Amino acid sequence: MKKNSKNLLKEVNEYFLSPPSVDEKAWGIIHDFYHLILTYMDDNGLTRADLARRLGKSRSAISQMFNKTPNLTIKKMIEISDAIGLEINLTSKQVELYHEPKIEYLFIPIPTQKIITIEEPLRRNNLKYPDERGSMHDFDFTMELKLDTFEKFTQ
Amino acid sequence: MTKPKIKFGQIPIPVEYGPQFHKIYHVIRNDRLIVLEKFRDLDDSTKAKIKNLISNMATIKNYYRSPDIIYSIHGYKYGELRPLPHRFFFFRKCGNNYIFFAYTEKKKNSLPNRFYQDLDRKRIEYEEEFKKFIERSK
Repeated sequence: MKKNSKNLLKEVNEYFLSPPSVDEKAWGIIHDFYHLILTYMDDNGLTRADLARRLGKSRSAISQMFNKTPNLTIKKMIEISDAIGLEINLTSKQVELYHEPKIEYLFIPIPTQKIITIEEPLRRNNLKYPDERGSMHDFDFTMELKLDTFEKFTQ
Repeated sequence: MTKPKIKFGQIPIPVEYGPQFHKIYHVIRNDRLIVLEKFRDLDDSTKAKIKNLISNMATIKNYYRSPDIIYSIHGYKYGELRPLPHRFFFFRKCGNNYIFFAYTEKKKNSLPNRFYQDLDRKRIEYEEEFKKFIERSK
């Protein structure tokens, strides 16, 4: 192989083995988002026309979006995933490992007043409680809950 | 006409992406790195985008789905990585290997039929050589 080719091969190999750049990480998030959306749509029989209808956009606007990977905003990602009913969130392996042993919460029910005090770690760890309709809500530092809600949550 | 000398180089995948299920190769024709030459000349953001796509293709067990990857061009046995206007063509052979074998630059979606047919002839030639290459590597 010629010297130029050898140098090029070395250069590209080194590039591929180098730690991911900011650009690469950003593209990674966008690509993973599309992978999730496309996989979920396929698995659930959703078409691009369905997505267009749910987002209130034209089919050509959706086609444009799926013909190339634009630099999406977080808001746009949430709009798209909400429209098809896919829950997405941001996670980090390091933070999960850090938080795992620290999850702790304390209930102090006072039956006579039906007041439950929830300590801050509960809120900090994003734990939620369901209301009668099943919608999830954030706990507040101190809040009043119906006793049956509390009982359901603690089961 | 003398027969071209065809070899294959493997593109390394960074460990950060996890276990590799598919190997990624590129064609070396008469000592020319016909795909990597084009890759080197791209801007940093496009290179980062392609590196991420290729690494995901290698490390996702089934198909990594992306608007920028067409696994099978209609009517042909090869696919396209298309961060437009850049188009890198690949085929899948001998198990789970992806072999990148051509590049072109075109913004619009469609390319002339003749172009796809020419590529298909090259694909057949490279597939034959790749089978021999794999046999030799065993």
